[in-house]
This record gives sequence, C-alpha cells and structure tokens, in this order.
Amino acid sequence: MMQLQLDADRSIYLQIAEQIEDQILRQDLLEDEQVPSTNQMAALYRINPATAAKGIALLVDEGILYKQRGIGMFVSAGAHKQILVKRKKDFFTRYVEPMLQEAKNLSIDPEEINAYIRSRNGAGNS
Amino acid sequence: MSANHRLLRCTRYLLASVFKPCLVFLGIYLLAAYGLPLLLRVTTTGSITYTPFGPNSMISSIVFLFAGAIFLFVGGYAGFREDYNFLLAMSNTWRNQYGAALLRTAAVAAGFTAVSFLMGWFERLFNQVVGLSQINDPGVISTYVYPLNGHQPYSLAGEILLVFAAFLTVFLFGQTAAVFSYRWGARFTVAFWILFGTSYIFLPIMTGTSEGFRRFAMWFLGEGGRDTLINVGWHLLVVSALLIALTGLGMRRLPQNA
Amino acid sequence: MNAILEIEALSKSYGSVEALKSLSLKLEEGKIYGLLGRNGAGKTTLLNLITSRLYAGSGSIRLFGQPGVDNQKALERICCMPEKNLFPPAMRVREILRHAASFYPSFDRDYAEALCQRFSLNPQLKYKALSRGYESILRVVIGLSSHSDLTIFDEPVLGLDAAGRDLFYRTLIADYSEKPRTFIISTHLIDESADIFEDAIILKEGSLIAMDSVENLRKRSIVLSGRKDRLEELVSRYRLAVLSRDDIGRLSAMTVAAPLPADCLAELREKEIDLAPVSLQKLFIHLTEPSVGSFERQVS
Repeated sequence: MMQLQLDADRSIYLQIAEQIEDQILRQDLLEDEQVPSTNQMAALYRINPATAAKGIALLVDEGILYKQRGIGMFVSAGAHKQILVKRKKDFFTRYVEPMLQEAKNLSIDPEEINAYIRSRNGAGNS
Repeated sequence: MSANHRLLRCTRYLLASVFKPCLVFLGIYLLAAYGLPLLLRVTTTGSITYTPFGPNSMISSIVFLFAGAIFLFVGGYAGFREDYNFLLAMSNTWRNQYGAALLRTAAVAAGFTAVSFLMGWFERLFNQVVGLSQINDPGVISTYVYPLNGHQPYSLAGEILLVFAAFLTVFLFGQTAAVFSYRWGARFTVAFWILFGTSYIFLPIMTGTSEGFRRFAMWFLGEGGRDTLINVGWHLLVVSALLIALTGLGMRRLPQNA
Repeated sequence: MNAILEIEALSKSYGSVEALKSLSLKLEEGKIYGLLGRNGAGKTTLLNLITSRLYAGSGSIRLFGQPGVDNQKALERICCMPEKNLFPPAMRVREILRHAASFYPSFDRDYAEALCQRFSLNPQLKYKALSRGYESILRVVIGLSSHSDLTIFDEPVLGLDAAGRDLFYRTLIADYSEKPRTFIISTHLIDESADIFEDAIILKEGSLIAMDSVENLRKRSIVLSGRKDRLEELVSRYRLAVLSRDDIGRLSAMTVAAPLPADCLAELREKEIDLAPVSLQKLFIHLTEPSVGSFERQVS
C-alpha cells in the first residue's frame, strides 16, 4: 500500500525505506527496475530531499538497492527475498506480540486465537 | 557583480524613483508658469506685463529656481524612507546607498540647473521674465533675497554655480533631514519641522537683533563683494559639503526602521 | 561541508532589553534550516543582524568565510525577505520583480513569472493593492526566484490560506531539489513545516537552546501514558526527566526525555504504559516554556 500520509511516530527516513520495501515485496517494483528518485519521493511526501535520500541510502547500505552512477537507484537482484526474510523476522515482534498483549487485556484465551486461525486457514485462504 | 556595479545599480534605481515625480513637477510648473498666463493673455487684454532682460534678471529662471528648490527639498525628504527600505530589501549596504544618494543628488541638481536655464530662455521667449526686483515686491519672499537686489549677474559661470549649488544644497538638506528622521524617529521629526517652519520668523529676528549674525548673513549672501553670485555659489557649495558629511554620519550603519 | 554562516558571541540589546545574549551558531551550506522561537525570542533580530540591517553590540558574524558586516560582496549572495513590508506601496508587482532581477545576480525572471502564475499573483497590481496573503506570495516569489546562495524567509506564509501554504512547501522542495542551496525559514507553523526542514534552530529569550536535525529533535522526548501511580514509580526509579504532565483521574500522560533505558522500555508493556512520539511543535513548546527543569541542561 502506498501511504501518502506519514506517521509521526517513527523517523521519516525509515518510513521512506519501508515504502520502497513494501513496493518491492508486493512486486510493484521489480528487480533491476529503477526506483523513484530522491527528488520524486521528496515531492510526493512533501519532505526534505535529504531525508528521502537518507531512506534510500539505508536500502543501498542493506544491499536492497544499487546505484547506477548518473542514472539512479535500482532494485537489486534478490531484493525481494531479502526483504521477505527480514520482514518475517520482524513479524512476530511487530504484529504478534502486540496482538497477544491486547488479547490478554481482553481476557481472550490463546486457544480462542488458535481456533480462529485454524478456521480461517481451513476456509482455503492463506 | 562588483561593488562598483552595485553602486551604479543603486544610483540607477534612485534616479528612476525620482524620474516620474520630476516629470509631474515639470508639467505642473509649465502649466502654471506658461499655460495659465497664456490663457489669461488670450482671454483678457494687457493684464500682465513682464520685462525682458530687466535690470535685475538672471539668464536662468528665478521662478523655476524657487519652485524647483521647494520641490527638491520636499521630494528629498519624502522619498528617502521608501527608497532606503527598498534598496535595503535588495541586499544593498548603507555605503552603496550613501554613494548612490550623492550621485543621484548631483545628477538631479545638474539636470535641474540645465532646465532652469531652459526656462529662462522660455521666459524671454514669452516675454514673461520675472526679475529679482519683482520677486522683491513687498508681500513676497523679500527677506531672503533683499541683499541680492541690485546685483548684476557677473558671469554665466557664476550663475551656473549659484543655481547648481542652490539645487544641490536644498536637495541634500531634505535628504539629510529625512535620514535623521528615519534614524531617530518622531522626536527628531517634530523638532526639525518646528524649527524649520518657524525659521522665517526667527531668522530675520536674529538678523535684526544680533550684529554678528547679521554680518554673517550678509557675508554669506555675498554682500560687499564684487562677484556676488559666484560667492554665494561657493558658500552654498560649502554648505552642501557639510550636508554631505552630515548625511554620511546619519547613514552610517543605519539600522532598518520599516 | 562549508560553513556558510558563523556567528560568535553575538549580543544585541534594545535599551535594557537583551534581544540576543552572546549567541553562537554555525550553519552549513546546502541545508534547509528551520528557525524557531516564541514571539520576542530574537529570531527577527538575528536575521537582521546577519544581513546588516541591524548592528550588534558585540560578537562577530562571518558569511561565506568572510567578515559579514556591511560586506556587499557577501550580502549580494543573500536574499532576505522579511516579515515587514519594505516595498514602495505605489510600485507594481512586475516593476518590483524587474528591480529584483537587477539586484540579485542569479535572479530568474522566467521562473518568477511562472511562480506568479502558479500562485495567482497578478503582476499588474500595485503593492498597496495586495492583501496580506499576496504580500507574502510576492516575497516568496522573489525569494525563490533569486536563487541566492543563502535565502532567508521570515514568516513566509503569513496570511496564506492552507492551499497557498501547501503550494509554498511543495514549490520550495521542488526548487531545492533542482538547485540545492541554503535556506533559513523562520516560522511559527512548526507542525506543518517540520518535515521540510533538515535541521532546526531553536531560540529562547535571546539564547540558542537547541540546534539539531529535526529527526534527532523528535527523538529527544516521548510521551508515556498509563496509570499515574505506576508512572510515578517508574519515573522516580529510573530518574527520568519529566518535561510536562497531564493528569486525569487515575491516569497520567508524562512527556519525558528520551531515550529511555532498555530496562525501562522492557517494563512498559507489562505495566500497561503506552509510548507515543512527541511532535517537533510539542517539543518546541516544552523547550521554550518560561521555566523548564533539568531537561534544559541536557539539551545541546
């Protein structure tokens, strides 16, 4: 999903990096395809170009993007898999833990959650 | 852009800023000095007579000298604030503004001097020369020109010097007052205008009561010398120099006061 | 990176009022700086001092590596559009732009005309006929078109409606993207412009109390909210600096200095204490509060 509104709770440049990662993940951006430039990102989100550049630089450091001098930034080969692995690691801390905490607040038994998940999987969607 | 170019840019701006008001003034002057009397002459018979080359006339126009002097004084005073603020907004230093103001003043004074002689020629052309003696008529500005009455113009150079120095002094005077008004605000402005407005009262009084002051005034206005006009011209140039220095003092590191 | 502006121990007083108290500052070239401060904090005084429109009692100013006071060569590389009106009321907009083109060495007239169209500013109008918003727009047009090495805006969006303000921010970003240069923007509208700035300079009562990237400033504090008793216990145990607090019933929301110790963070979930970020504007309000506690000593 492309968010035009940025959250106030996390660093802007991290969100920029995440946006690009999301696009790669969902294959809205393919490998060896050119990524929107710093200036385009800055214009879209109405932020300082240096901030956008920082987000992109982060992805370059992680190897998710590579730079072609004079042309721009491109999606690295294997970026999709790389992001998948990274996100999977984060998944449990980011989504599941808060869910469990909230369940505890509402006195929902973990078994109820398991049952729910099983029934959803059983319906054929995954 | 070198600093010199900057000075010229400022000067060009200041000249442009004063150009239209000068045209308007000239238009009104021509109308008042020639248009109206011409109209009167056409509609009435023999109402106004003037003397061409009267015994006390200068080659240039006395009327224009006085009208122009008033205009330059008022214009110099009124125009300063706007010009200074605008040039400040355009990232100009006080030094360049000061230099430009001086250049413009000299240029405008020179221009007015030239026009003054042109107007004199017009006066002769239309038989409407106004001599010093006519200005000297009771009820007019007698106090200031009385000593000049009776003196012939010695030379063209003297007259040019006098007219130029007069315009220069008066224009500078207005600007100097404006500079200090800008710097010091209301307390200066009020004091200045009170002093200036009442000067026509207390200056003659001082001339009458103080012998020393009377002698100085007579000397300044060239009394007792041969080359009156040149003398007065030089005296006015000295006054101009003083005003130039004063303006410099006033404009030195002048903070913005929009 | 080069220092475009260096100020050392700059002080300025108006009579008995100390507008700037021995302020020292160093700005790098090529960044968009936000200059923030409450009314009377000294922002406009600082900007006037930098541009030799005002003179300091003591201290030094260096622009582009040279002494900055009354330095025409340095000053012509700066375009400073102040909040106050400095334009002749009877002058038409296009005349003002024409003059600006002759005074600013890098002025782009075509760009200025394009901006006038974009902001719907009629060049035929006389300056006195402009509403407050359009006066601001004119200053924005000149400031952006000047392409000066250092461009300063003092309250650039005064009187502009929301659409106009948004257009300004977008135009600024686009222009800066194409021609990176140094901007100093002094503004009261912090929340909407915080993302535009790279660094923020915060003044309080004539002194510099913070200068850092906006990102770092945002990380300096967080809001903890939850049960008042648990919060108070946590705060005292970890000796957290509390900037402000709001209490309601059994609950409390406390703004504390970040970062929190790792152990403290770990305890938050079990104690059912929520974490929330603090916007730059909120941080600004806290920092510039007339009396701020220990936090002020931690800052910069």
